[in-house]
Amino acid sequence: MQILLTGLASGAIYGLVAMGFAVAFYVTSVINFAQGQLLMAAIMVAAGVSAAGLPTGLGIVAGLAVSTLLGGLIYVLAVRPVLAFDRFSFAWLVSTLGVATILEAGAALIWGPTSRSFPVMLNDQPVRLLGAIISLQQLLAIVIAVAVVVAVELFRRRTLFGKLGMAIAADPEMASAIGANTQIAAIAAFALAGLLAGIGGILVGPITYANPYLGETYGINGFVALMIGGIQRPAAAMVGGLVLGVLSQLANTEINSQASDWFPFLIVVVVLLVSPTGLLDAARWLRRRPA
Amino acid sequence: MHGNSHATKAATRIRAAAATRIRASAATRMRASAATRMRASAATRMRASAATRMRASAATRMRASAATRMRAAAAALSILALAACGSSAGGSDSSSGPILIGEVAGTTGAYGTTGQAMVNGAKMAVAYLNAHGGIMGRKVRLQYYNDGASATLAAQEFDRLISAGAVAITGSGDTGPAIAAEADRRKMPAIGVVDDGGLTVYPNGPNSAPLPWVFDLGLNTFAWGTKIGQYALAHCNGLAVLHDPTTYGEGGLAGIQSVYSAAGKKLAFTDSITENWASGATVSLTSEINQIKATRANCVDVWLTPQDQAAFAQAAHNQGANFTLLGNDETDSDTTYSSLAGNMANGTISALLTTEVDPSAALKAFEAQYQSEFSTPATPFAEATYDSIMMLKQAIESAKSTSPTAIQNAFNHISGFQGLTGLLSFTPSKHTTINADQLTLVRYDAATKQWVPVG
Repeated sequence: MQILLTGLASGAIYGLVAMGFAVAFYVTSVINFAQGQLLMAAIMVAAGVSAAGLPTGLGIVAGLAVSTLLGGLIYVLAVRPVLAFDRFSFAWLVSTLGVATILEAGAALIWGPTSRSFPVMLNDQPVRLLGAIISLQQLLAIVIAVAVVVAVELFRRRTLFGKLGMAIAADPEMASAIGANTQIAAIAAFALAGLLAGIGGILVGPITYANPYLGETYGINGFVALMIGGIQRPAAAMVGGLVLGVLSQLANTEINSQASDWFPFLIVVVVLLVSPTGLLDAARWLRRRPA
Repeated sequence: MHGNSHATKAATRIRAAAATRIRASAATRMRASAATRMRASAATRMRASAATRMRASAATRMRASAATRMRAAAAALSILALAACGSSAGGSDSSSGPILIGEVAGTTGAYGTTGQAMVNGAKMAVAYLNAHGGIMGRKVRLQYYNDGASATLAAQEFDRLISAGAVAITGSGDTGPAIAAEADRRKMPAIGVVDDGGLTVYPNGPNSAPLPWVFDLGLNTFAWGTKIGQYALAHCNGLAVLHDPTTYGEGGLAGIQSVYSAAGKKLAFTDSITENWASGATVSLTSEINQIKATRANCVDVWLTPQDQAAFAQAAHNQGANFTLLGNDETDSDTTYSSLAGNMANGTISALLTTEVDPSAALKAFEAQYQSEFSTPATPFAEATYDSIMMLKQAIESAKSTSPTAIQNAFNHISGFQGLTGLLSFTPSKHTTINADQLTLVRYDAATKQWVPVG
């Protein structure tokens, strides 16, 4: 149970980053490789506001606002121009990586290149659950991750904007032909991806502290989670994150502490071999098989 | 300390896989989209779009696309190159021109404060030398790079500095083994904080021969491990050690084990923890905490980054474990650990150079000037780097030459050098300056935010 809960807590953060990847890809077919840096930006801003003596709540709001805003700006400044030049090029791969580097360097310039403290929030309050002990902060991460999945799925399926996103994902030309503003939808998708990364950052900040280079670690793990869960649906990406978190924790405990580094990539290779579109598609395929 | 390249390699593989998948996905979508457009012939826009796209053959698209990619790649590479390089002052070496001293230091990442201190210490040494006649009447110049905790980058930067005419390289704290290997290969002296001595200097253990081109003035892991081991042996009912798998962590473990082995005792638990020094991310140690609790050991030496030490302290508290936490040379070298761990750091045991506990007049003056120039307290890594450049001056002047062999020979025979970090000596078989006798055990008092000597 300890492995499960600790793994779900770390997996929830990977899942939130992965959901951000999925939301942006879902609408624009673009992978934002600065997604991890948006998580970092939320952490750094929240830590900076708190260090200035302002309330933690204000820091959280500011962190989320900045990551959301940056998400939208990334599309406007780094993705749209290259797609406008050639819609089918992959220059966004390089441009979003460039943004990631700029965000890291910018954060290091503003706050210094080393770790800073982050408000403890609920991380110093242990809670015993089903025989295991985790902090309230970790429990909060799991709860919020579930709530975010439900909210995003409801938004996607029940609102006009969500359905518009689905239409754009299915056929952007057709959606555009019937009057959908694909640019606004794309900006909104990137902003939502930034918000999701920011939520992950606020939840994990008390555990990792604030460091301008954190984005790399969470960006990679979020991407791995995306590969495991599947790239097409945000909820599947969260499942990928949770699976990644639990299996990494299991490998850490049952094999050795270094296994948590290579084990996730082993999972990805297996998943890509078995079901190139993610675990959930494999499960769906298994259900459809005749008896 | 070498950087962690696993994540980078894995990221490359993942990105390649992603690109393949994305290309496949995009191609599928394009085909489907084109078919739809063909069927929906009534829509003028679509007809035009599909026809145009069909006619705009692959050649046209590829030309534009390739140009875009090349421009974007060039821009990104420029950005990456700019980010990778630290500030530097270019230059070359000649018999009459300035003497160039190179420095490689990880000024970002988990040990960023250490790298920054090393650069600051080197700047102060070079400024002092130039204000006092230089070396053999020649001006001294410093050229330094940030290795970002990357061993690959460190090796490249070492070669780059040597090519620029550097007579010796000081550092690096993060990537010592890579620097030591390059020093050995290029037959050039590596001095100063080279991964805190230990196994980086003596790869076959404390009693083996040192690497001939490495002269470490840093905070020798063998010395810290020995001192902490002596404390644990006297005060703990069982000692667990969590350490990184590099020569840094393994060096600390070797120092601790030497004490326990001499006493005929065994460590209650050891585990190697992989960290990402480049990103400074913490690792989950809940599993290790519960395993240590099961051994009933009451002391844990967390020979990891200050970030992971702080995270361990918090997680141990949450798990209801009442360990006495022991540290390493980084734990108390600056305020990173104590500020991140807060009250959880209270009672942590570590060791400081005795010269830090009872500073000389020269060290006090250095600390005051350092605070004035950099608006932050000096650390032992700044002092050790300062000492290394002062010692280099003595070596060059005694050899009357800047040739690598002459400098190496002079370093091998420096004795009784009065440095900020103590009375320092090298011999052909001793290439570290700090030993356990030069250390004082200290305990952190969260109330006063001070490290106080253990009574």
